Amino acid sequence: MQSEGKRMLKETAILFVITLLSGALLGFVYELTKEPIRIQQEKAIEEACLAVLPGAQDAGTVFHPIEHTLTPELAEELAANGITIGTVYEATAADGSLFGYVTESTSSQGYGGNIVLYTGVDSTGKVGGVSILKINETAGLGMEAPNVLVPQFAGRQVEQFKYTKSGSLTEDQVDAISGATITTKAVVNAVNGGLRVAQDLLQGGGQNE
Amino acid sequence: MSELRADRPAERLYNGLIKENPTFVLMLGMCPTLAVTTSAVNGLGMGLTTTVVLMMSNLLISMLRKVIPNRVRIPAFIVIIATFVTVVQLLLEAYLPVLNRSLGMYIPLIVVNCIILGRAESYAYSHGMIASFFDGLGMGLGFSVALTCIGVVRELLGAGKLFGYAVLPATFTPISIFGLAPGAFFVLAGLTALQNALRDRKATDKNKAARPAAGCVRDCAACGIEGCQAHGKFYDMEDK
Repeated sequence: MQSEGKRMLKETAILFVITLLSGALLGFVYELTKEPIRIQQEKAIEEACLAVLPGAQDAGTVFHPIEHTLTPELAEELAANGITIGTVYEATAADGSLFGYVTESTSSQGYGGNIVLYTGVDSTGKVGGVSILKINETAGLGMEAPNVLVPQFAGRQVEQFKYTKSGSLTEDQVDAISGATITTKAVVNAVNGGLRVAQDLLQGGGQNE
Repeated sequence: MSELRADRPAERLYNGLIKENPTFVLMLGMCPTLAVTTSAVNGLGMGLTTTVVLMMSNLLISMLRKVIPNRVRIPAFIVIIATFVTVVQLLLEAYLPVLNRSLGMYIPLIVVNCIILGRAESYAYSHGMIASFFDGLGMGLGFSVALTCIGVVRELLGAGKLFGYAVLPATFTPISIFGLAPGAFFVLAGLTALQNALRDRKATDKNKAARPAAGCVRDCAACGIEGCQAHGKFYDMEDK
């Protein structure tokens, strides 16, 4: 008959060995998948960047993240709308000329959590396109944003977008999704945020690099 | 099912797929069942991911069943299951990023899926490796089939699509509630009722002795389920 102390020690040791082996296995798999995961993430970013700048693929554009500091006024304005700016990518064509900027912006004012999207703006200030990376709105309503809202931004050259519920008439108006005004507002604000940053960079403002 | 011998691979597969289907009969793992089945592909992906984890964890736990002391078995099971889930998640992230993105949060939550811990505790810890492996495979496939069925119905009614392809004419207006949480409950209830009606006709036939469909522990002495003893016949006697 084993004493209780010995038994406890033995059980602890067995559990320890199981945990240790699990940890070793995890470390091994982590190392194995580290590189493929990094490549997948880079590929996802590149695909999203290419999708929002039409013609970028033909121009042999490469994207690289740049350091960008918002001016205090802009930062305040964006924060008021619940917008945060993530990574900003500078797109350089194969011949070395500036192709445009892709800005990752997040709106915290969606109906179901954060909405993250990429806004591509070419060197003339025209919106190339918008691509939604993360969205978790109501199915059938807000979730229609990629189908209803996104195509409306592409190819327009405006200061800022506005949404309307009575049919867009001018270049800067975007038709809202009926029944999903909160989603519409969050998406339009996030696109406007990305647009602002790109305009800022194109005008040489901000503290670039 | 007298032709299938207990604890043989074929019997285990039949048990997991039909007799004790984890979703429609045992009603285990309801959280992922209701949450990810918005489309057939998501249901299938979740099911197959769970199947892989179930097979591996059942196999390993069965292998280690004489090593793992009884008193620390639950933490040992959880460590093993969590390890496999993390491995599967890393592999999905590296090689199937699309599926990884659509299942999102529900992959780490496979760790706490009660099907996996349930099979470890009630089967793998007391049975041989081959039987346990096939038990995991059977249960996993049963879960996959169930999730795919729910996903097919919800996708068809909620979006008019099947495996991502539009199959219903454009005149069909999608019933978006089927894509939302309440729709998951409707479809689950409907399919469970359907399989009950098809599988166990006695459940709806009043002349035959009512067999408890779920909750029967095959120990009539300690059983409180109505309809068992009321017919003057013990279920576990009848079975022998």
